[in-house]
Amino acid sequence: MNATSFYLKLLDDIAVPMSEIKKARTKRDELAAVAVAALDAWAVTATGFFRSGALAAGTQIKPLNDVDLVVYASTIRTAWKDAPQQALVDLCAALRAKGFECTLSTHAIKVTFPDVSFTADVVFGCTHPEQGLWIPHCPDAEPHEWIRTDPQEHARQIRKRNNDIGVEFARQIRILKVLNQKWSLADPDGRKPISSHHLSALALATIHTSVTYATTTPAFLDRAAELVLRPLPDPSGVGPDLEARDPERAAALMQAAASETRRALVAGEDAGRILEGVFGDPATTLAAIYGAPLSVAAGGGLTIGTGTRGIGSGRSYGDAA
Amino acid sequence: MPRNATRTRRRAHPRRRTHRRWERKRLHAQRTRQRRIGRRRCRAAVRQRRWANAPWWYRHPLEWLALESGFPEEYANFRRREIGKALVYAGEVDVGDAGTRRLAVIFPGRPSRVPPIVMADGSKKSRHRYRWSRPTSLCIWYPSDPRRQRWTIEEGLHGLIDRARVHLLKEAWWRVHERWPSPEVHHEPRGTERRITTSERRRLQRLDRQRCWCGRKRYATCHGAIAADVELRQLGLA
Repeated sequence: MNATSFYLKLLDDIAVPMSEIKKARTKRDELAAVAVAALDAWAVTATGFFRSGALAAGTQIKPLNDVDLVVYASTIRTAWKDAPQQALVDLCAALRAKGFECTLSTHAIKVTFPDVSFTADVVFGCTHPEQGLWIPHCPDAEPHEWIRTDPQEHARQIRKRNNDIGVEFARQIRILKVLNQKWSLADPDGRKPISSHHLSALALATIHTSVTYATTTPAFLDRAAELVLRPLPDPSGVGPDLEARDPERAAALMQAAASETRRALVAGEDAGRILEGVFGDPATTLAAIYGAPLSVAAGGGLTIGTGTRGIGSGRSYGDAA
Repeated sequence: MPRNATRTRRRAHPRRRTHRRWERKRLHAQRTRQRRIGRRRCRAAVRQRRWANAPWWYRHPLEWLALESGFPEEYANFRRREIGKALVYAGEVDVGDAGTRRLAVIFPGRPSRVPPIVMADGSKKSRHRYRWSRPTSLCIWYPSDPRRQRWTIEEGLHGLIDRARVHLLKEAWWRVHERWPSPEVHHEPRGTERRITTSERRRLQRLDRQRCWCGRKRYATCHGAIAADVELRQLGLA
């Protein structure tokens, strides 16, 4: 398999089915209507919502874990001013009253649906007079505060780049997300070297011409390995600079992946094997985590379908962490 | 004593003498036989004790054979060790996108009766682990599920390693996404139960009395009482 075929197969393996995307959009918009109605009931002004995150920017990969939604108002309740988390608590209570099951996270309300596997992250934002929003930032061990961000502008920039150089730009981000996910799977704590938002920002900063996956990937990784070593300005211009948790490690991983993807360019039909070493086998990983039948291939690796021997499946059991 | 006293003692009738001699012989033979039986019983008791204390792979060699039969080339790096009454297989496995991990597969008793214990190096953060021992062990299947959903000796050692690889991949996914999409039976960690029922209390008591993975005595007084790094070295995980 040559490099181009590998990237196309990879994109095919990680594509979210259109039926699921449509279902996610419907759920998101239903939830948005309920959340906006709750804001209106509190008599805050100029309420509304917009879609954000991977689904809004077209950079989603399989499995679709969550859909993101921002509900906003131009004013906030007095009680929320010094206690940002109270905004999330009140909105969460309002959603619960309408039958949604929700929990709080650092920035958002996570809503779970009984009939679908994905969740929805509802962010509440207060419109900033100049640009973007103030959103609650409520980490467990730190003081809570309102921080500035502009998720709408971020999604808009990706869509604009898609219009300018082609939809391959968003697909290139999907490929890079697979790589980031593989790195996180191999990490003992399951941490991604860089966040998806940071990855998209790096792509916006480095990819300006039309994308050919086989050549753009190593070029991006080379450039990103340099950029990740220092803080990257937020693409929307209002949020804090983006930094990797461990810039040296992220740079080293990107550098190694860059040299391998470049080697695959001249490897001809052997490129598939080289690139599989870099990107892994997301199709098999997805099959494994969803409990699909797996087998062991002739080389000893895990594979989908028929191999040298099947692997038994059962229900995992035990104490939670 | 008058001299004629011996003289007056009458010699026993020859038939009676023969009878006494025969009786002495009989008693001697009986005592000899009893001693022999006693010695035999003693030896048998020792043999029984030895047999009872013998590791399971001596008592059930066919199970051992079944366990190792068809062991594939990709697991050739696995090494077998005897620790206490347990047979421990340790080696490195490829866990797909989650990289490479070291695995210790422990058989504390005959595999057809005593469930094996599987431990792995690296992060212990998982949704599905048994936590009675410090290295923690993988909960790959639900013990009350039907046979086809559990590992059985028919699958062999390699079948168990295959299952462990898939489980480790699921664990890695859970650490990243906090999701366990495949079938599971989940219960809350110890100490977070709102109301401890009798069955739950019994389960917790069972955990406190958990036998060590090496099969000798309780974990708390066996490998649980030695340094953690020594335990990991013995398992081949450090």
